[in-house]
Amino acid sequence: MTDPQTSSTSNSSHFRLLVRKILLPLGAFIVVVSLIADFVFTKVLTEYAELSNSYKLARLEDETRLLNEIPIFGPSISRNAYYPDSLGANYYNYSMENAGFIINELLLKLESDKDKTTPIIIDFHFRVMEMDSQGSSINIRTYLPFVTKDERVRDFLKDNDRYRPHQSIPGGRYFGVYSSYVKDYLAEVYQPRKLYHKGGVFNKEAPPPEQMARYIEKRRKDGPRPFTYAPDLEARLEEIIRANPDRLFLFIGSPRHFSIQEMLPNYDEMKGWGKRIQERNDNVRVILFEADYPDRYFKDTGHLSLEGARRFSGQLRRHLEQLGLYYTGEESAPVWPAKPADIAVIQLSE
Amino acid sequence: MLFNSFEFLLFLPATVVLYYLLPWRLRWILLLFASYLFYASWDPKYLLLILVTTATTWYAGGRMAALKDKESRKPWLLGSLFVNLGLLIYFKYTNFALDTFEQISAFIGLSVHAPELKVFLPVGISFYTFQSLSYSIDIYYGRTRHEKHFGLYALFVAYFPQLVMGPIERSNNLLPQLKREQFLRYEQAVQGLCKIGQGFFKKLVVADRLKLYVDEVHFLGDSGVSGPLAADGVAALISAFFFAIQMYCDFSGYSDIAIGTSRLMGVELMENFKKPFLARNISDFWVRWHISLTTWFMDYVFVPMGGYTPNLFRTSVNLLIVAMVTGIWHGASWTFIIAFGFMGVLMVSRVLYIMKVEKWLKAKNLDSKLPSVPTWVQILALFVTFSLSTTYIRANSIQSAHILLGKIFQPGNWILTTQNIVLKNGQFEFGMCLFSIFLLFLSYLVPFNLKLGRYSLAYLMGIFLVIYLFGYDGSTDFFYFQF
Repeated sequence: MTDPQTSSTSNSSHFRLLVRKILLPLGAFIVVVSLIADFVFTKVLTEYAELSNSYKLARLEDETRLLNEIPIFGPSISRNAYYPDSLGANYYNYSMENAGFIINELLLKLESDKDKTTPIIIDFHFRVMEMDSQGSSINIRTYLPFVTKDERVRDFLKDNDRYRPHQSIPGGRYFGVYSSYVKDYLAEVYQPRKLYHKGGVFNKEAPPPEQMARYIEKRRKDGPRPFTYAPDLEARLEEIIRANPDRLFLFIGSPRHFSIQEMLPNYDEMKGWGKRIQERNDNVRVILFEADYPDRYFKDTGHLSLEGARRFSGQLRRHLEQLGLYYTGEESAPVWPAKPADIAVIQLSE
Repeated sequence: MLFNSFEFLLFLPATVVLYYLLPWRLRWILLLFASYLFYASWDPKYLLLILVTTATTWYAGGRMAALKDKESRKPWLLGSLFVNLGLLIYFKYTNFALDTFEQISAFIGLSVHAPELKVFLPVGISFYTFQSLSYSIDIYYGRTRHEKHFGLYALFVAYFPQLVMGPIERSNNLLPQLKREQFLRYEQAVQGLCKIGQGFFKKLVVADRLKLYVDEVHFLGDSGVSGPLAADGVAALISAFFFAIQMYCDFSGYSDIAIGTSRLMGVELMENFKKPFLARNISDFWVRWHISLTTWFMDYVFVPMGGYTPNLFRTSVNLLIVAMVTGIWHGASWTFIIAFGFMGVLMVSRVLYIMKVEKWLKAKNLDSKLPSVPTWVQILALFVTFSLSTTYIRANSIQSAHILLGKIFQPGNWILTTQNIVLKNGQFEFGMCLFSIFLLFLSYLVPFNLKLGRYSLAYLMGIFLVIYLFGYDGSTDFFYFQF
């Protein structure tokens, strides 16, 4: 039999030793290291790493600056399509890869919470009204720096079942994703084939013809990708639009490669949806561009190249000017022309 | 509740502190409650199954212990085997059997459509079933005593550190430790913490990182962009190497956490892995890999069948049967049977070499004249062979495995471009995979028993830093859960 007195003494003396020699110093080390790493990463991500989506989110959250900025929202299609400086000094491309409806909805909410009157550009493509365009819309590392300080972001993660308790612990939230951030940073520093410019990402070179042929073949193999939408998502979008009557919502259909166009079986339905949303909302304009662009204007079948983006953005600016919808960001209270009966469908060529 | 979950980070310290605060006579109640809570966190209805297994093996054990000769014990052993293997077979193999029946029927020209039953696979059923069956068999052979205390026996079956993924313990090792009063010992607790750190390192830094690459090569629903059809031969080969390491780190990482966790409560579990990638031949490998399962099959299947005999044919058959059964234990799929069958063939080849070729060389006095194969070549050759065979374990189907192996063995078709090697995740992620393997290599330099003395704190700090900065996510299931 063990003497209870002895066992309890042994336990407590070894426990004290364990706490003093291991647990306390280790705990202090963990707290200090994780808090320093947390502080440094948050600072770098939200203030310096312009390529990262966290930087875009921080920029969008800033309610005191950039009141004359015209934001552009969408997925990688639009991240590659809108070259901000070709549109004007106050345009910024907030597009994020794989951004489906839920991402755009969050970004629109953050933007519309601000006291601004500038237009908002939303890329109008066949996936714009899909809840989760690629099944992986929410890249958690974009939102981690904001979980503790922005209720809207935290609620967004909770609503989409991406919130975990450790994300609210300073020092614990970046666990498992540090290297992903470093990857983004390195991609920004070493960018031989890409140009990063005001939120946009542009491939400097188009693929060789044989590579493009493979992309086209693959696109055809994947089969049709129709435009789809759900009435409840439409209602959520219109709720934001109606809550912001002073903001003009420009739905711009950027140029698509012919192989995408031929795999879009219900293009008329997509146009019909655009027409309907424009008819129902005075502050909505829908402009679809149908482009006969050469292959060198594309980096693949889904995205424009740098040359294509510059060309399209210049053409977009001219057409917006012609339609009276161009805004430099300098005017104090923009006045828009009367809403046309139909959406604009504009042919672009090389 | 996964070991690599936020819940477990709260559960473990709370359990350990309570454990030492309670009088030792009550500790088994706490551990049993904690173990059932741990298990029920997946699905409370699983508890019913574990209770059935516990009750039947304990009752059969009690009846056998009361009988003197083996013959009269046999019905109780068979009863225990019938109930528990029956449950395992039903939950794990029903659909596999129906599917196989349908395929065989189609092969002989009969059109039979077997229904697919909605059977859920309880977490860890293969592990705790084998652990409790070893108890029944040991009592039958008189190798262990019956535990009269049902609560302690229930704790032996459900002891949470090793419940869902092993090590598969024997009653002779675990039960006495659970019955004995355990004291908190500084050295043991520090070793336990180091072992837990090592396990998390293997899982979060190495296994989960390599998984990214492997998953892309084995991507299901191939559309030509990723998956076996899109993979180049070199990517398929790298993926095979990465998967072998992933599987090792995933499983041995879990075992390390289990052993370390148990050590915090003064209970020593058996080692499950002993640096298997340093093995020089297939026999050596199986002495180092999943030791608790290998010894289980050795003791309860291989040896009763006759084990190693002077008869080469008989030994070969025994080895092949054990290899096949091990494959079936791992998963209800032909891919596992092929992978482990192949390893069985390797074992047979080795026995053939030892029993015939080596003897012949000695007889002819040639053995000393042949140049010896350098150790590193033996290690590398075994690693490559093992990695290739694991392609079947990871593949989604036999066809997928054949596509990948076909690509590996047609090096003429290899197109060595950066894109083909690093795949969609890019150069950085690929570099991180290689870096994590380098860190694993460094970890091999740490003494295996983790008796680090005054360097323990530095080790724990270092491993925390590595996990914190290079760990990948933290919410991935352990690969062996499916078994």
